[in-house]
Amino acid sequence: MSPDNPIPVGDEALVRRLRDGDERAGNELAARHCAALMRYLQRLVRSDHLAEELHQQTWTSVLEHLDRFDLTSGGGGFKAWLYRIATNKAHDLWRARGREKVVKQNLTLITEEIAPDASHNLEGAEAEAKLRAAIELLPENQKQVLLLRYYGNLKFVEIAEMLGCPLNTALGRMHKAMIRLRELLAEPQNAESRVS
Amino acid sequence: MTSSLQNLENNEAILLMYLAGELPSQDRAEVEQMLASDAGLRAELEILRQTQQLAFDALETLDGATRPAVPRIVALSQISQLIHEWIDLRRQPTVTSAVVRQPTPWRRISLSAAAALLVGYYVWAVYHPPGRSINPRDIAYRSDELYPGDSDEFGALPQARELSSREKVAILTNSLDDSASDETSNLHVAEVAAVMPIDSSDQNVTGAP
Repeated sequence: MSPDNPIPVGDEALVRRLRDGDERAGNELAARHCAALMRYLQRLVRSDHLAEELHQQTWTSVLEHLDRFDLTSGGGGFKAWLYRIATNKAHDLWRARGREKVVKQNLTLITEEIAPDASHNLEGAEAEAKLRAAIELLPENQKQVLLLRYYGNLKFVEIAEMLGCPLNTALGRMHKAMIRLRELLAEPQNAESRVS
Repeated sequence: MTSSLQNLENNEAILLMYLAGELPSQDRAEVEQMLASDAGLRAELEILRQTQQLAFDALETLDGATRPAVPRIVALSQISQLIHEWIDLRRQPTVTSAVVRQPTPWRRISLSAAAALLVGYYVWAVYHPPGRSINPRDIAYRSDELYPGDSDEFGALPQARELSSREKVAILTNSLDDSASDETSNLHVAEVAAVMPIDSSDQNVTGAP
């Protein structure tokens, strides 16, 4: 084994080391999953502030329950567990605040998020708005499967297990999400106007 | 067909699993055979592949155009702090011997109190034999007996010398009251005062409520 190209350590090995008090292993785990998890939450709850809050809650919960995480289980490993906790945190948030309120709040944030990116030209900003609007318009259960697949790179079996639905249902939601997104992107003006 | 493919309810599901690389090798081979022989299925797979790519590209484009909720370095710093605190907490010695709440030993307390009362009563009884009370005349008699020629009946007693006149009166009054049945010692304060001179400054104290 060359020191320049060390064999990558699996998440589960890092979890084991973290349990033994190895802080660097914990930081390595966070570095691996932090960015994608944050993006997943950002897309899911459509708010930077809430995404940050949920991100911290997720890691806090991970640490609190780390000793209970079964390293030998075939449930998708640490990453699937991490996304499951994050998804549950988002569901808790929706339940606590009322989904309608969050949607209303975050639809207004869409324009706020675009505003700082003034360096992009108008065409670019419009394209972003259309993309964002198309994703916003996906039904929640379809969007969740798409985001878990894209950001978490989770297997469909893991997604189905995480969401508590049959495999065929998860696959069906993914398929519908893709078709719906394609349709919305084909009619970007319509999608944008429907969101606003 | 194997059971794995039979469980997938339509072509889209099978092709999505195929695209995701989640089919077992045997099922994968079977799907490839089907694709080789079915042009419609190949077209369907291609559309699915493009649609999936479109969706992923859309998300990638959006991520590239949107700032992350928190800069990665800030998010990592936050998590790193959580991990640090968590490890510190685990390193702290745990309270292995949890404070076991003992029941209040009421029985022991009662017995101890009873024993203390008994001892106290015994000690009191030794120094206060029943039926004996201080008679000023006895004191005076004994005083004369012990210290003949001393004009002061109480003054000759070493202990009595240290008492003030008001204390002497109080002692005598109490002892007389205690032995009220004894006619010989049933004296009044006035009689005591006659026996023992009282300082004028002390007079109001003896009568104080």
